[in-house]
Amino acid sequence: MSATVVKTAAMPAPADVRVEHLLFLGPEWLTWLYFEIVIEGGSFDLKKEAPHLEGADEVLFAIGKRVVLSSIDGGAKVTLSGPGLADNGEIMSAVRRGAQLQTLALDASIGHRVYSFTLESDGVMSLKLPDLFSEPEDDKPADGGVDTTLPGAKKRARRPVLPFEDILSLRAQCAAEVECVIDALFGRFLKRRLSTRWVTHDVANIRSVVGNGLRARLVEGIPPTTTKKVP
Amino acid sequence: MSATHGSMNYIRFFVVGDVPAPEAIEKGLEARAFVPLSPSAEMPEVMGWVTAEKPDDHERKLTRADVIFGTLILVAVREDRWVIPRDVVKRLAAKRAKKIAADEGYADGVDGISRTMMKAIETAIVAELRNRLLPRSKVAQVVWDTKLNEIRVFGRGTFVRERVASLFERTFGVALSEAHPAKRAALIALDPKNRAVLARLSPNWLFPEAMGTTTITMDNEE
Repeated sequence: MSATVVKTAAMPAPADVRVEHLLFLGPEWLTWLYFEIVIEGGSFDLKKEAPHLEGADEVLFAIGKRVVLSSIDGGAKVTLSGPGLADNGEIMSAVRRGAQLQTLALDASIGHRVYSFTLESDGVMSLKLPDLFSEPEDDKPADGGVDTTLPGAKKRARRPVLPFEDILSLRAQCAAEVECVIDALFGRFLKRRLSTRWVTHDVANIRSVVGNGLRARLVEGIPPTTTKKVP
Repeated sequence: MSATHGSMNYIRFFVVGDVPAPEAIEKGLEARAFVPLSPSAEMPEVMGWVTAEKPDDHERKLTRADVIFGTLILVAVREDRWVIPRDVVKRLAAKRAKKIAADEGYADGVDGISRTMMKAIETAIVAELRNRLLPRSKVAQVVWDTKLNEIRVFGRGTFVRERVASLFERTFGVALSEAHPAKRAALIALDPKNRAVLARLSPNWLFPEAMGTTTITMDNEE
């Protein structure tokens, strides 16, 4: 199947696809993304889906500090916050009982920038931008290793004051970069979701991860069975 | 929630339609520029375009220099509305009606005040309160990336999803499609076979046994 994200100036939603009956795709997408990060170890090669993105060959993800799950009927909600949400027993348990993710906080390294953002199943995005005014080499003090707190030591160079247009453009570029990665992953999700291998591959892998995760927490001292990734 | 500083909280929309020329953008924004609420006007709310940098300066004319920054258009929507609790109006109106009945010497007291007169008293009370209060303001910044032909509206909820989106569509003569996963799925170019699969897609339970069923739905069958 070929699924390419086409950004065109005039492309209304096709009449044969009723969007309102696809609203379940939001929580499915976030749930898939969570487990894809856990299964793949957080490293993705997105060169195929985003060929023009700098650093697309290795985009690194980590699960952030907030996850919200709710039952499929939209009833009970579980909010988990704090570190250690990757491979988390409560998340596994909730998914095992039929819950899906509504909110997922992520950290992503794209090129030389690191972003923190939160995705909601209805498409809302909260994005914390990295420090846009420093280069990676600026981690060292400006004078090359001297403690700048000592009297007489040279102070680090002040951040440049950019024109308003440059700030706006830079921030928009960062947002577009993150959106490009999200779109690429969403395209990958949709391709799999529509394929016949969705159940035999993706669903099977998620069930395996959840099963092993819960087994490990239920039985002390007995190591989990090896998570066998279905090729 | 700002396009220019701090964290960015926004809803993304795909624009369906061509980007207008700068003159048309300027004209469209001017036609629907924000006009402040008047205490005496009947409308309880107004909404319109203001500059993103100074949304409280409604007298400032929107020119292309204020809104067009290279391939980006930055502008803000401001909505003002009077928020006067109904109970407060009714209580003050009842007090006023009692005074009028006493001053005019109505034999039936307050009961002699007709419904029409009561409504007129309430309208006068509302106008007086509006003269003493500031309307409640909501502002949402909008960034239009004309290269990608997408907009980011900084905010959330019905105000952004419906009111800001509707104003944008009417101002620039375009249609907006929210970047909800369901809508993105429908917009992604798919071959006819996969479009047919998408059209009949149904929710897939990862653990159907948790939902009381024993089979995993295979809705992707060709």
